[in-house]
Amino acid sequence: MIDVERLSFRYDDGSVALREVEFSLPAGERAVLLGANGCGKSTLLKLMGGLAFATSGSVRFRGEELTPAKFRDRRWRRAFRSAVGLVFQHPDAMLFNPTVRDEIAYGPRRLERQDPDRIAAEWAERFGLVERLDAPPFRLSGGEKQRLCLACVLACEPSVLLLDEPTANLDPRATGWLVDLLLDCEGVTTLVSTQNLSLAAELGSRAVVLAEDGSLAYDGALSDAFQDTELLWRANLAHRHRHRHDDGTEHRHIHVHNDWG
Amino acid sequence: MHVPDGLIAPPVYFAAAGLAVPFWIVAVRQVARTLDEETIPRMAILTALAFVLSSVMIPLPGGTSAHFSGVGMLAIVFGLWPAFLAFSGVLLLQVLLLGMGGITTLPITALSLGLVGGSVAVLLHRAFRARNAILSVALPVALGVVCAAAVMALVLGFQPAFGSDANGQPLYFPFGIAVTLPVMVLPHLAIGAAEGMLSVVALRFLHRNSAAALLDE
Amino acid sequence: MSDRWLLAGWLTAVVGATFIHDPVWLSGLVAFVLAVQIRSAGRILARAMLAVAFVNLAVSLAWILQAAVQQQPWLELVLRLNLRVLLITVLTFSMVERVDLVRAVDFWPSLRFVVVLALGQLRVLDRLLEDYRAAYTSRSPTAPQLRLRFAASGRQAAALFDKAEQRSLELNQGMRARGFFDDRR
Repeated sequence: MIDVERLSFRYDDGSVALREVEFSLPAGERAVLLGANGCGKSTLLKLMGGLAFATSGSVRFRGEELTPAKFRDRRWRRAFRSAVGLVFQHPDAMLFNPTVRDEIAYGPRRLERQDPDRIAAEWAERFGLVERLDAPPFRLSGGEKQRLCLACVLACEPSVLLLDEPTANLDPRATGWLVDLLLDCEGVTTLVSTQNLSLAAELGSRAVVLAEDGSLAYDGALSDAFQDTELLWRANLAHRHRHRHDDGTEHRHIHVHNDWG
Repeated sequence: MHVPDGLIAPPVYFAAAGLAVPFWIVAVRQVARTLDEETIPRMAILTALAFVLSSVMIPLPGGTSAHFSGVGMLAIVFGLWPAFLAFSGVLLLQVLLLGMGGITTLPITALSLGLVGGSVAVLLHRAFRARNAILSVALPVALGVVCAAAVMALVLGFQPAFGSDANGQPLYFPFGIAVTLPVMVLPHLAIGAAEGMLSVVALRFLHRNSAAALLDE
Repeated sequence: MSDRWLLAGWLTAVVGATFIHDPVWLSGLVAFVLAVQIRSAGRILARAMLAVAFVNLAVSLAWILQAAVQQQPWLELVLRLNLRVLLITVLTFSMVERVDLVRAVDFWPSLRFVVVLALGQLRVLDRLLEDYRAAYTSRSPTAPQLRLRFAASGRQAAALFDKAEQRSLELNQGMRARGFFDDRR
């Protein structure tokens, strides 16, 4: 479905975000994107979402390379945007309609689906936003905005879902709800970026791990990645701190925490 | 510098509106041409920025403070037309959301502070760009504020010419230019200077790549 | 539709008020506008008086002083200006309580988007400024010198600019991801 081929990306100021990253996401795959802060996870998702273009290498969607020229083709661009849904880490970036109802209905209306308002009501019900349908999005709480963004994207029924730290604004209960929701998305290719390793185990069976310098550190089974302490340490996904025991002894070791908090 | 509704005569604010509309049209066209599809999100952000900037307080001696208008700094950083549009948007939002300022006086305030103040800041910044921060930023911003105050003082000072009642008392703002000019311009010399210096300090903290170029340091 | 008409009605009333000079008429209209509010009359009047107090007092006192020196009448002008400004301010606060700005501008979709986005981003920037102020206060056990206060204000302004720049880029990407610009080309 999406192929990332020796992808490198450099910002205008010359700083390198990604170095020759390479992996493929077949249709229906559920994968998690892991890595430290600033390793390029968000940038990679935006490149896969066609919001930026590679400095070198390529991103292909169904075999077609994502290039500025491609996106000038209106029909192709429309088809891509409806097939690939990207949920940003900061929900404010995605919300621009006057009401929650308009926000969710926006995508279906653009895609000329039947009865977009009914679709909006259904997704609002699913996401616990029914009572906020007439409210302006900017008045919602952080968690509500995150759910709204997910509803907006899922209402378009994409075949690929790219999620950038979707649990950043969610409490543990809402996080559990999100996990169930994503598991219900049968057949949708998903790539979820997260720093929460125990949550990662719920979201996919495959891990793509970026190193601090933006290169690919690992691409394979998530379970194997969890066993590789050295990998986790290199990717800033494990830590070491003082443990004090009741008998007064202390030690340090590299480990990860298994909780959703 | 916000003058409430009710002090300015209708011929004056109608004329100001007539003068402001073509400038707004020019501004929208220029901005749309420069920003293209980014016009809507960019102008929304700039308007929000201009709105919140007015909440930043400029500390003054004696424990007092004044509101930062930010128009000069906005014009220098983003250009005259985006700054003028954003500031006009702020004036509108202030009236329609908070009931602050005035709707009939909006074109006058937009033209004086947004257009005249912004233009003076941008033109002087361009003229002194190769010099130090004081000359290239502080002075243009300060003079922009002072010129805006002078324009407002002139507008207010002309009000007595627009009619009086049977007792000879003015129908609108009652003081002439001999009063309004010194009363408005003199305090704005200090406020303008403070706003100019704050603009320099703010630009020094800015993380934009072009900040150094704007300060030419 | 009603928000639009309310807004148009308010604008007409404000313009109309600037043509009225008789203090009796002006006071009657103030009373009428407040009477129509019923429950919120007191709150609107208090808010309006507070909003116009500084300018009206300054102009009124200056005029009274000048008139006293020149031995001229002053009452009618003082009443006229104060009542006219108060009337318009009361009308404006009444409008603010009733009109949904977003619905009022829905006749022009581009403007509506700008308004919606601006209102949303305004909250983000406002929160940032509040955070900076709170942090500055918490780190200042004693009253800081003027120089430090100045630097803090400069930092606040710079932070707002930086955040706005960052937000602008993200918003542009977010809207593009949802196809907003596709429909406008």
